Amino acid sequence: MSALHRFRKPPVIEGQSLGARVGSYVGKASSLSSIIALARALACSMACVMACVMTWVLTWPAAVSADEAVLIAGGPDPASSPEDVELTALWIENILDTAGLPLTTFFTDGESIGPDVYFKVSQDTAESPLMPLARLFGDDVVERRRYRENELPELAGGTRRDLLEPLFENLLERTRDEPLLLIYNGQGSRSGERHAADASLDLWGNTTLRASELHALIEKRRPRAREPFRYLFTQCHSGGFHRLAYQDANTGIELAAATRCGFTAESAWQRSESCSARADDHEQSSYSTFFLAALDDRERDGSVLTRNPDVDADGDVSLREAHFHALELAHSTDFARSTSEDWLERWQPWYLRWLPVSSHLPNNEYARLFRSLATRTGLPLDNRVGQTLRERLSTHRKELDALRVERDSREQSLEASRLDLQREATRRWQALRAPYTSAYRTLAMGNELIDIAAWIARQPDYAELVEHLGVLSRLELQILGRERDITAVHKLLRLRRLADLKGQLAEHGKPHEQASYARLLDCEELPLAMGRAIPADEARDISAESALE
Amino acid sequence: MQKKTARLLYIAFLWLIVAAAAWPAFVLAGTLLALYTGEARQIDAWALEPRTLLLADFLDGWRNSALVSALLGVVAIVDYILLSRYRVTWLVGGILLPLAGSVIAFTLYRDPVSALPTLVVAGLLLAFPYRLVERVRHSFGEA
Repeated sequence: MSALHRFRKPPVIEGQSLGARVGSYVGKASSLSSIIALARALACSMACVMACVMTWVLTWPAAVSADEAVLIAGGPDPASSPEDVELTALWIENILDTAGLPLTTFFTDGESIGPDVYFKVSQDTAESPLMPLARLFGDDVVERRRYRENELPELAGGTRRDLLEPLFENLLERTRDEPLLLIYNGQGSRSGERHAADASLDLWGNTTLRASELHALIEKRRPRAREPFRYLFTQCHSGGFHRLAYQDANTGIELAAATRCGFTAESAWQRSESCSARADDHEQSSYSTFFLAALDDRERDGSVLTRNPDVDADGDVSLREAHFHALELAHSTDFARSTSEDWLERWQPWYLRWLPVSSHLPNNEYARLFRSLATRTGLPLDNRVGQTLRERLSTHRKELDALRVERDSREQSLEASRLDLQREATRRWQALRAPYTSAYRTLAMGNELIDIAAWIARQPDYAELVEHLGVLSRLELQILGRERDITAVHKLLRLRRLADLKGQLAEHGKPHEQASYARLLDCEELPLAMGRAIPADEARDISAESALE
Repeated sequence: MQKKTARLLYIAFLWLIVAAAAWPAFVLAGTLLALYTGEARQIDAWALEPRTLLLADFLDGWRNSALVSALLGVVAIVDYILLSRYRVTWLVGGILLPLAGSVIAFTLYRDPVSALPTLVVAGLLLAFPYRLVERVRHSFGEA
């Protein structure tokens, strides 16, 4: 009879205590080996209990008082994960570390082997000899890209949904009674126009997580959390994620029982600048850069801030102050908003919704921000301010339309030049027609591609092609500039509307509505780190270990 | 008897037209004034949000304003009964609608000044279908 069989559970007698049961079993044990085995099992049980107690004691301070942060970053594939996203993730880690906030990071494919981010070859680097060939076949942007593995330290995992979801769920469960900050810095999309919550996160491996699904996940794990769940989403259509704060993911303005609030770089319906980044300075001018700079108390490059974000001078920059800082300074196509603003816009009753904005703004933070931004952009603050803004908008739109027409015409010319030159080249080198064939492979392996590229560069049409590409690149930048100008005007108009809305809420809002709004404001006005009991390094270790478990 | 029935039918028709057009008139007035002042939220929403949302807002307003619209229809009937009897008063027929607009602004809004222009213009706009119905009635002979 094996030791395992000898340790069969004794029959349970109704009303008999555990000690009596064990005693009766020991009494029945006939050999010494059984007693030794029993002693071993008891020792093992004791060890397990001790280990559990030790783990509980070690993690206890984090579980009761430490707020935590989660960073989910990177695109759905290496080609959508620029190096800048990795640098931003590092910056966020640094900011949160300084604030003493333990962070769990999920980035692209985690620590899997293989390239997951791309970087651009510096403009100073000599042009590749194959560049003429790349230009001819429209691969000039990709030609300057190189891929590598991310270098972020201490990753809890990748962002592929099937891997991320259980880990994130565990984290939500573990922190259900603690404040939690979620930062998402990646790509986003939307799958329909019916509900704002149709917006989704584009996660690694081309997987997605919709706002409504995230809402369900949080509702399941933190349904009545006493501490707030805060978020920052910087992707396209990120405004849809404000629905996390509501009771129903799709409709209504009733807030969820647990407090949730946050900030998004865009509305639920528009693409943020990161999705259509045509400028290298995107990461420098985006909403998230200014938001993070306010929290870091210095610019991304380490220089001193041009404006003090701590408006109430309490020594702590709240997330809302960071939001206002970014609203005022960011010049990008990001049309950022906070949950309280989203709520305010949804709250507006039907009898006020279609009235024009009052020409006399109430004296609140939105009106002050509007005046400050108007002064910054040289907008005269007179009775005609609305009309002046519309005139500006109209001018910018006309300029944008003209630039787009010019770009389209230039693209047609470029395509014509390309086709002529491609025809010439493929007549000489048939294998160029099909780059995924053995013939092409032979061509490439024989170093003939460099000769072909040199031949292309000597053609008179090539100079024209290069000129078209240069002009197109400049036009794209000009278009981006106009789009940013248009967003700036929309931002001013929206600030006026928000100022008016806030005044309307004070006048027309029911007490429970005002309470809901005040709850969101309280949540947004919290500082980055809300107060904690254990050192950052220790807590981060615990947090990373728990997430991995 | 026939004349009385025709008159009742006309009153019912007038009520229906004014009540149905009250909300669209309010939205149109708000939009026109907002365009004039440059603060047209609806124009921005048209460009930046799905149009179905704007339409949903409009329909929501139409549903919620049903009671006020019905009362405006009653005002139109009172206006017709009081002012259509004499030619001089008939000329200013529909005047009670913008007046009703201002009454609504002062009674239902906590900040009447912000809503007054829109409601008065809405009343004036509403007087158009009222007068149109009157014109039709006249062309078919007085009810």
